Amino acid sequence: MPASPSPAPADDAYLDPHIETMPPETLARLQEQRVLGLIGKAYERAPLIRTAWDAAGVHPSQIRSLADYFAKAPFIDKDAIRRHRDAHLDPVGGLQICDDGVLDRIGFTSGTTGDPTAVPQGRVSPLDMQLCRDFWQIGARPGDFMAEMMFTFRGGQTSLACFDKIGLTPIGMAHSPAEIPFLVEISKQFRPTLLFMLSSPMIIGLEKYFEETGTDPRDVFASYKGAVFGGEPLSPRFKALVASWGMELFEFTTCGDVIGAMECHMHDGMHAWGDLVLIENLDDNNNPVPDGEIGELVVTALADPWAPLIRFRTEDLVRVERSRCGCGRTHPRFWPLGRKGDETLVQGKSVLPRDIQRIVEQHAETRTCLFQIIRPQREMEILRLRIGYDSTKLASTAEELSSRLIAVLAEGLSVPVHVELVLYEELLKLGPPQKIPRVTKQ
Amino acid sequence: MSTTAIHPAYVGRYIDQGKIIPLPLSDRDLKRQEEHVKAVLDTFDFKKQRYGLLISLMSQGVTFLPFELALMRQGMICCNCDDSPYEAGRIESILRRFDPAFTAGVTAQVLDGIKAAGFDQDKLFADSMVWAKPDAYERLKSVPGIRLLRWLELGPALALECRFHHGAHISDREWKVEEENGELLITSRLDRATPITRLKTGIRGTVTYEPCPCGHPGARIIVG
Repeated sequence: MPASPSPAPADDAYLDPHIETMPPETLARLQEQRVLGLIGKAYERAPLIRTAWDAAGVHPSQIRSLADYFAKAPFIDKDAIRRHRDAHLDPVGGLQICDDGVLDRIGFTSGTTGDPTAVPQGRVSPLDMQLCRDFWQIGARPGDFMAEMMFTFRGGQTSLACFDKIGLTPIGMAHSPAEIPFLVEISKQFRPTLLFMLSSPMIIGLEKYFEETGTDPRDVFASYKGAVFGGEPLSPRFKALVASWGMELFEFTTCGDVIGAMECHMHDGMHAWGDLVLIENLDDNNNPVPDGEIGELVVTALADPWAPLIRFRTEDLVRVERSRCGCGRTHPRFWPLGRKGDETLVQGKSVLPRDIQRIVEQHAETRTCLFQIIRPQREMEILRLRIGYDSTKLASTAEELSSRLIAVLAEGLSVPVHVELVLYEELLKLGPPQKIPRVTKQ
Repeated sequence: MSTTAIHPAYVGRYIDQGKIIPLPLSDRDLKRQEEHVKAVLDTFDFKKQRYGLLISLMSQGVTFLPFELALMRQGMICCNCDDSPYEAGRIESILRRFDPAFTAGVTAQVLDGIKAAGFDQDKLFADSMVWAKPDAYERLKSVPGIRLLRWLELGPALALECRFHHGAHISDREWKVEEENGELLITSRLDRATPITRLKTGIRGTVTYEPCPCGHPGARIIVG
């Protein structure tokens, strides 16, 4: 069944043009209004926020501007939410501000870095609003089909239903390599324009499928205007591989679980919609980091009437840029560099998973780029890695591969390296299916 | 099978003799399924703002999307997990923290994952209400105090047991159900985006039209 024709006029590039291209000073005023409108209610109704603000000796009445907010508002983090949840037997961690009877669903974080936390939502969440805007910029238009390979724990089946707000028809699939034959079938039958979303294991599965079946990926993906990639940083090899299939990838990440953030066609950072989230980039002493430099992403939810995160420290290391993007959008952009908790100091030198990713994927045997940093504590004298390899692609022996990897990693990272090789299928079993834990204690 | 000109609101799937078939659904298809689920939910005494735990995959929206929508109409709150052995930790966490009124869609692989993660299904589901799929149903029977109900998928048709546990209600306005050599076949009766004709469901059982104690006079599936 072909998608309905959906001509997109040239001036139709934005779903919400007046918001997406809003002058920065107007956006700042909107953010200030939303912050000032939010904090009083959050202080009155959200026990965790009240506790944090009381502990800091700050009252919402002292906040009269964004400058006040940046100077005085206290922070919360995931550990504080978990502590409150467990101490008070409050499953939503002391964040709920809405009346009972308003909540429709509870989403959950992935839990990759620990116990999943709850994300209370109504029928349509800020994440849904962000996705509609970003799918539109990729090129999806009313009447189009979209292939959706996602998880239910983020917000259930009704998260699919939100896309009818922009006229898209989702084709529901599990996020699993086992779904690839069905993805191929529906891609040929319905000719979707969007795939949401791919992850490293899915790309590994597609590569294997196309190699084993001889199916032409360019034919399969001929109708797609783009695919969203998420779960972890996109490796250069995977990006080139998917491009060779005729598919443009758009990197996606979460913006502190408030909304997502996605690249546009310029591929010059992830757009953080400023009407939905206020982002800050701070150093360890809570001082603002200049644009272009590395800091921690701190977020405040601006369009969440259920359980907003307020000055939430994400532990994501980022660079931020606030200049206008080449696509014409004026909202801040950021580049995720890795989890603060994933940063390993080897003899004092910082190593992030993405540093390792670029080297490991260069070798045929380890092109799936499945590896883990084995790290009992953050500071190590030697970088210990567990790397998955494909035994069918061994150029020589496993011992030779190990020696080769140690040599290139030590040279590329300028730190001593120890490598433990395991079959990549074993690492995949560590799931969840979208990614394996990149850092493990053992 | 032919597909009408109705532009689908959602594309799901069903299984036809082991083969996965894409299934476009219209808004009306989904709405009628939601109404059917709502009628079953109405037989329970769920309080508004209670949680319900739904275990499914995004590929299973044909049955779970209308279920979720019906649940929200009841004023209840949906918690979701993937139907996956990797979700045991999340399932345990939700059962412990949210005390859901029920768990829907439990499968054998979920039970396998619960065991592999070191949890005890007897403790997790004790004294709770569970809609289980056929491959998990027998394994849950021995859980202490469980209110075990059947969740049956006859192709794209959802049949659910109500609180009286006297067979799974199926919408006989939407579906004609026939028995053939002990197997149930379904045929769509209304204006579905994708009509279904004599689909072999793989479910062995009988259809009864005896009034259910819940007060519904319509068709129910008795397994076995």
